[in-house]
Amino acid sequence: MADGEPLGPQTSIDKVLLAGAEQRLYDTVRDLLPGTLELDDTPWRSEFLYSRAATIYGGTAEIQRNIIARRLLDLGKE
Amino acid sequence: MDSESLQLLEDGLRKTMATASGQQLDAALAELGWLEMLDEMPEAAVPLVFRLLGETGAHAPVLNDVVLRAAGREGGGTVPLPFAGGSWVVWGRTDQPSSALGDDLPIHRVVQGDPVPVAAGRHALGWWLVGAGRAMLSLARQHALDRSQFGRPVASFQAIRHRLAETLVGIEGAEATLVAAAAEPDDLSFLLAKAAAGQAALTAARHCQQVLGGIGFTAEHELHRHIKRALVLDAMLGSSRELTREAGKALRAKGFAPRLAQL
Repeated sequence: MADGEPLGPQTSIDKVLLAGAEQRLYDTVRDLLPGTLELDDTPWRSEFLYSRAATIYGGTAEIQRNIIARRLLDLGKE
Repeated sequence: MDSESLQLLEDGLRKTMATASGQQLDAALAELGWLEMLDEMPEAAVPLVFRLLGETGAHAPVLNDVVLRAAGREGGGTVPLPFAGGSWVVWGRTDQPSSALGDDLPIHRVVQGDPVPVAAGRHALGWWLVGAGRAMLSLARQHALDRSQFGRPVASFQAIRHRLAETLVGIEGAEATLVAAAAEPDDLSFLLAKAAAGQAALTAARHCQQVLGGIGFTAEHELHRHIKRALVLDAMLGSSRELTREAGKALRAKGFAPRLAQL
C-alpha cells in the first residue's frame, strides 16, 4: 500500500482474518472476566459490543467471502 | 386451564408487556394474579410469562418470586441471586438504575448471599432466553425479506438463510430441553436446559446481528436491547459456559451419563 500499488481481492482475506480475530478476542474477554461486561460499566463493555461490528463494517463477512470465492478461487457467480 | 383460556391469558399478558416494563409491569403482573398462578399452575405460568418477557423485550423482577417460592418462602420480595463469575446480585423491585448492561435492569451487585435453590429459576430464565432468541430471529427474518441487495431480497442468499436456519435449530433444541426437564424435574436437567437456552440466545444474537447488518447496530433498532438482555440473562444463575463445565464435572463424578430424555 505504501508503494502506491492497487489493492486487490487479497485484502478480503485480511478482512476475514482480522474481523474474526477481534471477535474471538472479545469472546475470550467475556469468558475470562465473567460477570464484568454484564454488571460493570467498564471500557471492556463498549469494546466487546463494538467488536460485534467488525464482521459488518467495511464490507460484511459474507461479501468478503463472496469476493474470495469468485475472484481468488475462481468459482464463478453464485 | 384449557387451551382457550391459556390463549386469552397469553394475549392479555402480551398486551400488558407491550405497554409496561420494570416496576410498572411488576405491579400489573401482581394485579393479574402472577403469584397465585405461580402457586397453582407453575407448569403453565412460568414458561408463558418468561417466554413472553423475552419475546416482548419487557422486564420485571419476577425471577425473585420463582426462587423464593422454590425455597418455600413468600413471593413478592427480593433474594440475592448467584451470577456469573461467583458474583451475587439483587434484582430490585424498584426502577432504581444500575450499571447492568442495557441501562434499564435494576440488577445490583451485592457482597454475597445465602445459598438458594436455583433449578426453578434456571428453568424460568431458560424460557426468557428462548423468548429473546425468538424476538431476535423474528426481527432478522423480516429484515432479510425486506432488504434488497444486487436486485434481490437478501433472504435469497444462502449465507443469510443458513444463519437464520441455524438460529431456529438452536432455539428449538433449547426449548425441547426445557420441556424435557420440566417433564422429569431434576437439577442436572434444568442446569443443562439453562445452558442450552443461553447458548441458543447467544447464537441468535450473533447470527441475527450479522443478518441485520448496519441497521441492527443502531440505537434506533430494537435488536441491541434483546442482545444486551440475553447477555445478562445468560450470566444470571450461571452462564452457559459455566453450567456446561459444571455438568461435565458432575458426570465425571458420577462416572456415567444419565438418560435425561427418552427419544
